[in-house]
Amino acid sequence: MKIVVVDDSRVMRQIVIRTMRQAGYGGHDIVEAENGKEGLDVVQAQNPDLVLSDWNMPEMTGIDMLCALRAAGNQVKFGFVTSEGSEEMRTRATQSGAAFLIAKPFTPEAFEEALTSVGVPA
Amino acid sequence: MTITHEPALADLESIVNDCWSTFLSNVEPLEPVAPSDRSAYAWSAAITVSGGWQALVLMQFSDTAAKAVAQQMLGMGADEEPVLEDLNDALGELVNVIGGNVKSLMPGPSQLSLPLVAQGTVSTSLPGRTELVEATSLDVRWLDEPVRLSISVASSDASV
Repeated sequence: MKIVVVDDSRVMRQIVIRTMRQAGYGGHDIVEAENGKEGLDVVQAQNPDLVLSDWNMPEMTGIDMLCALRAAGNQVKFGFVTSEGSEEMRTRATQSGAAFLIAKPFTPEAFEEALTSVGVPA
Repeated sequence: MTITHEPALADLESIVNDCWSTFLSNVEPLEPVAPSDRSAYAWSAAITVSGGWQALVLMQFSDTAAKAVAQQMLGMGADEEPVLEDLNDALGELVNVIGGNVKSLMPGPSQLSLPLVAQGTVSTSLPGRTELVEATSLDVRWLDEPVRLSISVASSDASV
């Protein structure tokens, strides 16, 4: 499967990919994007199976990217990986069409649970 | 009714320890220590919260601690020297995660800024506010180096 990891921090993209590997999801095709705008372009061009996105980013936030995708009729599976895990953010994420929200700092188990919930095989 | 304007010290300890164990392979919990002299800190990473709660979340590191954060978050070897871009990214992301977790504990809705990383100290001001008061702080030693987390709020909101 193809998974797009969107985060303005190269360090965090690396940690997300490392943690996915630790959770047993190292065999998937990973594409990286640095912000929501770049993520939007990558999703539209490469038609991935899942998007894992930060929320707070320059150029375009993760929630704006998700709203733009849904407005364009794109139903790609989408999950947030963000430092803000309040109920308010989770509700907003769900209402906008996200399947899950993984709060930073996270564990490999959090990824396992979230990816299993959207049918991504280990 | 009690209105809390700053997070409890125990919450800060919990957030910092969760971050350290996840991103920095830290096994033992970090224990609070007495504050170090200001001159001990060579790097600052800050993020602001605005909206229902307004605050500045500031982390300060010695040069050795800052480099170790970048090395460990990037999976570098101890003999690899992080460059400026690595330090900006790693310290900024660390304060972003800590700031996001602190924000989640406080009244909302509020917005998190993008992080700012600087060598030395950063100016503690918020948009439209002239004065900030340090409300809570946590000093720890990691790899025998000083690391400091402080939360400053607008002076009119401070309960200290």
